[in-house]
Amino acid sequence: MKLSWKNRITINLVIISISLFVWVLLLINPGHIMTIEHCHVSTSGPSTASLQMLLEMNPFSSQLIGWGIMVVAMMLPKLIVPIQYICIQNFKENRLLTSLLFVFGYVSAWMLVGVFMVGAIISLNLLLPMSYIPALGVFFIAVIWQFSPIKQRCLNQGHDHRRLAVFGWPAYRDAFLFGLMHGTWCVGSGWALMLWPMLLPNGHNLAMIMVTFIMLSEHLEHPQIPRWRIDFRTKLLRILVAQTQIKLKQVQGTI
Amino acid sequence: MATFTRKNAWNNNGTFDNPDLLWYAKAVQVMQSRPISDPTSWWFYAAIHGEYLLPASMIPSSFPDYQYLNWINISYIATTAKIDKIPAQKLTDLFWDQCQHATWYFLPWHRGYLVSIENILRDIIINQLKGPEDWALPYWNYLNQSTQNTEQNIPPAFTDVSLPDGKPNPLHVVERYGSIIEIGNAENSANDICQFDTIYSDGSSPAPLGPGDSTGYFYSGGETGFMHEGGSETGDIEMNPHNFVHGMVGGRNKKKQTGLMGVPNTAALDPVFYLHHANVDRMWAAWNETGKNENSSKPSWLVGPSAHGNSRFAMPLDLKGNPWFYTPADTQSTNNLKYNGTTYSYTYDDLSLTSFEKAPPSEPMRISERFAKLGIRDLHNVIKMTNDRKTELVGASSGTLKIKNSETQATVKLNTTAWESVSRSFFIAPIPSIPDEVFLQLEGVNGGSDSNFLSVYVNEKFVKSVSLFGLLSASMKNNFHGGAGLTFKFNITNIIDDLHLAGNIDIDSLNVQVKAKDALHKGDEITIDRIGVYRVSQ
Repeated sequence: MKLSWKNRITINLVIISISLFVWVLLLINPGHIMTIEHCHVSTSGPSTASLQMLLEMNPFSSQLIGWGIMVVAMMLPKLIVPIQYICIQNFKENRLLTSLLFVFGYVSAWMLVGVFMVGAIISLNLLLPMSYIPALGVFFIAVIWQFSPIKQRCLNQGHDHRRLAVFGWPAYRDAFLFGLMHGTWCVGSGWALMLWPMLLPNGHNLAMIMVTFIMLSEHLEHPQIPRWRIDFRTKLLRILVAQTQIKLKQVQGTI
Repeated sequence: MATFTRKNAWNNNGTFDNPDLLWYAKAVQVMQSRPISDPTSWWFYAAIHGEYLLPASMIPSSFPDYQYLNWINISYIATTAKIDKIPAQKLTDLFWDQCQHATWYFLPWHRGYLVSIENILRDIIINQLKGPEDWALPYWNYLNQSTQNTEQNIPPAFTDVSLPDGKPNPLHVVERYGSIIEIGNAENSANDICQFDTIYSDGSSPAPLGPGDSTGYFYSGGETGFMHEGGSETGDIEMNPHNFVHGMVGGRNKKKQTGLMGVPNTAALDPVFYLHHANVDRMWAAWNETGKNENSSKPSWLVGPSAHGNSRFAMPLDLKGNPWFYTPADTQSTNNLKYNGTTYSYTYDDLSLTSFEKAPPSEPMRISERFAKLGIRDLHNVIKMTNDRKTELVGASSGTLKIKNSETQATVKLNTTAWESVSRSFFIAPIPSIPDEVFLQLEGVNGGSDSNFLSVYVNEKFVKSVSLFGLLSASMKNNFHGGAGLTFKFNITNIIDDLHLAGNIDIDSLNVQVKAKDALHKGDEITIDRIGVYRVSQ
């Protein structure tokens, strides 16, 4: 069964609006919630003092919040399909709560890994401040991961839309667990891509936009047999091109 | 421009006295003599539909009993196929595993597939075998009520071991365990009731009149979006007769193994596959021929899957693997088909709408008849129809259900608030409003047993049977469907109407029984993640 057109549009608009709003926050960076540019505080190598100084200027908690905001901005549009699925799979009165629990579970997975990611970012900034080497290293890891069977396995699992209980607390549990598992597979497929922009001394925002496009695109692809394969997974681009062509043909009256 | 005519395979009693079948067999033999690396080989063409070949370990360990479907284990595949030397990946990526099932592209994709192989076969017949230039693919109309032949049987040309010249018959398949189609309106029978559908799909124009699916289901499935997640809706013609016939022809052997035709990834190895699909194609042409039925006019249907960023339909034209790309728009009409830059034309010697059914279904879900049944005066002239119907879950089963031997039973608990809305819809119906339609859905059906059938009962009333064709593929985790399994949707409005008339609409649960036609493999089982009940309202 499918949700009505109106319900689907509503979900799309709400999610895309939230994502855009958070993107604006990130790009304008009010109150310096994205602390990445302040990480490069020392050029004298790692030491207790430099770590303390760095953490004083950029508390771990605020870096983690920044990480969470980045996850929401980048990945929320990816949740449109599972949230539509949750809504049609649940009673009307439970749609909102179960959707929120799903998002909470999903973000939890990214936040958990965020602790390690932020730790890694701090360490690399202390070791090699203002250097492109960490970003370059992670970029190569990301490229290898990108074409690996493990990545494909994670992407495939992202299509596993588990059946949900709908009565009582199991309904809420299932929605949360669905989000947690969905997030876990998403982390599995995209951890390296997400880490890469964070390590760039410059061009961080542009890299984030590129990574968002790649990650949204690859999650739109169908599951495939896991194997080594150079596959740029450009489905989002293909959709945009095809839909533009269709609109143009409609305007010209040739379709 | 020549118009080729596809004729009944049962002409000349379905034997090799029928020249269409004899030349088909000879040309199939030529294609079968080519190695799988040749895009014009029989084996390559079968893999276009689907394969269990790449890689050899494709059938996962969770389905060990199905290793016999792996192509390396299929005795029908000749050694000349050289299946250990698979073609270059760019060819397999472009051409293999394309079949469109449970999508609204089912009909146009298969039409292009037939046209493509028909041209290769004709080319062999004319240029290599010096046969008739007007040869066309015959069709097997298993629903034909001929008094001369029992046409629900597979034509004898497919069961003879030898050709008239004594050579092995390439149309004879060892791993084909079924031989007759059970036709009728009983459970698990093939019929052509679908031909009375008037709507191509939910994306069709003009929009369907009435709530839910006004005739129960759509002719060619629900609209296919950019992702093919679980919950896709198989169209009426695809389910019955198409899927039913696949299961019946595939059949099962004594080890309860499914024959090639019963599974999508082996089906096109069997030469009878193309005659079965020619019949489905003929039915579509006949459905269009009435002038009352229209294919979808939505751009995303006309353009095909590439409208949603998915691969284009592609068929190899020659041994180099040069492709013919096509869209549903190209294949809309059999007499004006856009084939490889030219116009191609074919027809059928019989374009009767139906061969078995002569009257519309006895219990249709048409609005006016539903109103009559419910005692509501004819109001549909004053009822404002909307295209955006609301769908809402009203009840669901708990926990995974298992069909171990041949049946399972479940209580589908209903949500009080949501079910009250269904009740209320009946009482406001005399005002210009239509009572809700109610659907039952088997969600996440997983397992093997593709040639099997499931029958569904609600409160001990038979609802419908469905074929499990494609179940194994849909249950594989790292496959196209992502392990989502199959989803089956049933319109149970009739049963809800009866409950209403009996004064039993205010209930808190429905009893659902699911029966498998054939006993399952020992140690194997079919699972159903959930049974959901949905209301659809205006």
